[in-house]
Amino acid sequence: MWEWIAGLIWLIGILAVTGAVLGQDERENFMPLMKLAVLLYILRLFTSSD
Amino acid sequence: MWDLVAAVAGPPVRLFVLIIVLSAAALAADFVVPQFREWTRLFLLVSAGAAAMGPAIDAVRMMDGLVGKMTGLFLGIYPVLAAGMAAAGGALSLINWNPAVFLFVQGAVVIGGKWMVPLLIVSFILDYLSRLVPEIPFTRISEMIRVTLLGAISVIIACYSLFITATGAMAWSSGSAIAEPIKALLRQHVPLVGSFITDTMGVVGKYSSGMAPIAGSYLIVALLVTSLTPVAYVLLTAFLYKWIAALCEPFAHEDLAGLFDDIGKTLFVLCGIMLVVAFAIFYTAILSIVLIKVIAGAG
Repeated sequence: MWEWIAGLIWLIGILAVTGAVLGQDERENFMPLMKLAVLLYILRLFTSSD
Repeated sequence: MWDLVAAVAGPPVRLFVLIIVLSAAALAADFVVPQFREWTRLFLLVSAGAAAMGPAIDAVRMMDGLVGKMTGLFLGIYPVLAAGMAAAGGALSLINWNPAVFLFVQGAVVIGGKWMVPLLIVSFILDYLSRLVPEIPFTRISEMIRVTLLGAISVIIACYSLFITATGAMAWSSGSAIAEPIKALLRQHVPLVGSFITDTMGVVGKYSSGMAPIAGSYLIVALLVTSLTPVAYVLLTAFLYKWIAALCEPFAHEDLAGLFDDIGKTLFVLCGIMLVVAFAIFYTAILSIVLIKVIAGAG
């Protein structure tokens, strides 16, 4: 569980930096892709055995 | 009392000064280099957010340490206490205790340590992450965690009230005419956990007024102050976060004010958990005193 939370912090941190690099307009376009990454990560919580 | 206030207020006041300095720097940077607005916001949230977590995580760790100590105390003292009670014979009818209360005390401590503290830390983290990238919010999950914890606490407190009042020996006798307006005031003005505070006050009051002839009222007051000090610490910290949120709202980034508000809300839930643990401490101490009195033949 804690590993998953730590991974989530990394993922959101990377997305925040990516968002700042892209700027306001580009960020809008890439947001579905970012949300997809978060969705896949949340799925990992349910599929992991521990 | 003022030592406690000074000890509690120190870290949040330093935090507030830090927020003012960081906000001034961010506002100046926004004015001088507006094209880096995104980066300024990111740096402000990372630095101020990391600093903001400090006192809150300290409060949670204090709670964690307290629960750990309580678990050790319970595991050590309860078999001795239960055996002594049974051997002393008359103790059972003397204080109308119920063995099932042991289960609740132990359950509250185990649930508090194993589930509530980790869930509260997760709630802090999710609040912070939702402010970091507002497009990907986790606000509902953290709200759900808080509501679930409050539900669990209310069930535990209801069970305590049932067991303590069902025995019928204790009565809330210490000036209920004065206590009622204070309770109403607390219930309305302490956010989220006001009614828990008044309910627990009622339960502890009932129990302590029943115990006063046996254990002595000065000792009861001393025990109450000792067991309720951590609750006061967390409650004051929660209010300080709310005040910081209110004070820095006009000039700081709106996400920062929201973050402090959320941390304050989570700390109010922690305050409810602390009440349950405080009651467990109080109950154990009283039982130990009664046992010693019975063994010494004074009860």
